[in-house]
Amino acid sequence: MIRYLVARTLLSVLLLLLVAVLTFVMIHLVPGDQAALWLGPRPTPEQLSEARQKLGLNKPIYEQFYIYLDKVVHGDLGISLRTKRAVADELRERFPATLELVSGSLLFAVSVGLLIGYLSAHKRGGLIDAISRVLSISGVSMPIFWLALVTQLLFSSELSLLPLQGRLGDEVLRHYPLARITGIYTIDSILQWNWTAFGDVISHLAGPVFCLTLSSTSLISRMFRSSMIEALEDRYVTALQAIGIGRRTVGSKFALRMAIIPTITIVGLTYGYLLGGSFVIESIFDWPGLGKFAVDSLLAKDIPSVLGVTLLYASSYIGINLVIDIVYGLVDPRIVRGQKRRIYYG
Amino acid sequence: MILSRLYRSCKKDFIFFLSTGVVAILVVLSIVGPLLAPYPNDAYGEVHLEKKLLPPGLTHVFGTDFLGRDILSQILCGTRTDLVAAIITVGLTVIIGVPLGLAAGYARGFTSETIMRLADLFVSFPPLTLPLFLAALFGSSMFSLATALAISWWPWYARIVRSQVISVRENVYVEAAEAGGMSKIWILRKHILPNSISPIIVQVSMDFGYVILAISAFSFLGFGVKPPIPEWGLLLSSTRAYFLDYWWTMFFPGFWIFLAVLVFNLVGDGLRDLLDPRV
Repeated sequence: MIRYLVARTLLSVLLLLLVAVLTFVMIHLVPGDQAALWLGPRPTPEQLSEARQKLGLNKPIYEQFYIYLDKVVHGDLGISLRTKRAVADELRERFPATLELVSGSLLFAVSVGLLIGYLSAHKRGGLIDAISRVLSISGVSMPIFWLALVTQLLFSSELSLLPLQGRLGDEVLRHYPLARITGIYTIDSILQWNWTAFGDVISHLAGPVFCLTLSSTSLISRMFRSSMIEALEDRYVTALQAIGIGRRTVGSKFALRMAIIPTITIVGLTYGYLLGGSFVIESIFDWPGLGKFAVDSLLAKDIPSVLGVTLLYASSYIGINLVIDIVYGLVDPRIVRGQKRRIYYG
Repeated sequence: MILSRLYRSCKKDFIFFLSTGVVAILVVLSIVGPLLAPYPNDAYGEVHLEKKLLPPGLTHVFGTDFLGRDILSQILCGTRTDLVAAIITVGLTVIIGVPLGLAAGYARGFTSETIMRLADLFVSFPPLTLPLFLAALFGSSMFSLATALAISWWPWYARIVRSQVISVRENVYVEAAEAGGMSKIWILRKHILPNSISPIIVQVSMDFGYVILAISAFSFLGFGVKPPIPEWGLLLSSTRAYFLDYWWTMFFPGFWIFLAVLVFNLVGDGLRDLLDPRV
């Protein structure tokens, strides 16, 4: 187990390093002058030579890479061209918003997905199974940007059930102010026993979470359904039923445990999809997180900021997959002994 | 042979039949869309302010947008853009992924390891993140968007081809060809590639819908296709300022994307059942 742990951790560190190499190479592949790129449109010649000096562009390439790596490791991602602040500070400020959105979505996708998958496996060909089948094929075909607009139109504009956008309403902000502790508003409002704010935070989360998770939820429910069916058809289930244990007990006590193992793998993949979806969803729902920041920066051609989000997303994705590999190794020892290999990153 | 199997499964499976038909219609539309559109000039930037924001009716089936342009015409003319962009993206992905997968599967040792670790590297970015970064660096146009998507997508194809090649290369006829002194390239081309290609066809048909989603999402956000080229995601994003008061401007373009992706996914599923003996 220790060997497996060390090997997997080393592999992740190696991947992180390669991600840094790749982004460095990409930046240097860009046609045109590096310094002009970092400065934005229409720089003066003095600015250019100053920037070249500052960026170390007159040094040899391996030295440049070393400096780049050193900066990235120490959290120095440069200055945002758009907001003129340190990219690292911008990211730190916005990180909790995206973390809240993505974790909430992951929680929702996994719990609802497992529930639907379980129910449809139990009554194959039944009503729930039929509905979940239609929902899942629609879910993966749904353009989430359209779904988000329809949600806004239907639930915010027509029915006035949900707020249109943002993380917290102005009214609540004024009368029930929320101090920033973790930056994750659901946790902050619970810590401060501020239930009005908590309700408001949840209602702001509902729309984005629903739109972000529809496809992941349907994916998880289909995967879990098939692994549940596989487990229910295993011979030990027949044996258990033969000795008189009821179908329901066998399903919920024994088959469920077997079926849940392959689903752990999907969690990593889902996390990736949620991060990818955050660009669109945060832009539409005006969610002040990393996804919206990346899109706004990209529209302003603010490369240091986009690079920052890219590195942060990639490293957190690698990190979560490491955690999942370790959990998977704990649950299924065959992986550790190398008899079985998890499909890496899905 | 494939055609007769296609015909038989169409007879058996009505949904597959229907979605194949709709895909065929979309392909035809991408060629003759501007001819069928009631107001083709509207899709390429013509403005009629006197007809702005008309609700759906007999003259404008899906209504008009804030510049008085017919929405149906814009959708019909946009079909070509989206399908062509998706074909370019998938084509580039195959061009990058398949040779690398062949090399990784046929050559053992260092080459294989290098290619596969490279593949691991590219998929360690969450989906759409690497294309976003590339769009920031290389500027946005339809072609650079397609390239960016292909660059982040090839590992999936390389992995599929590699695992297929590994099983094919153990066959006796490959050994015979090697013993007969045939060159590696010849063996790859004549024996290994034809026998490894069907999972790729399945994957392409399964991915096509997702590629359309990615392209329209990027155009929606403002990268990728630029006006006045008609494109579905772009059309949808142009309505963002006022769709809450004029629902049809947003509803029909998005529903159209949904239907297009849905039929491509259904055909992909059907083709998988047809070509993949494991399922």
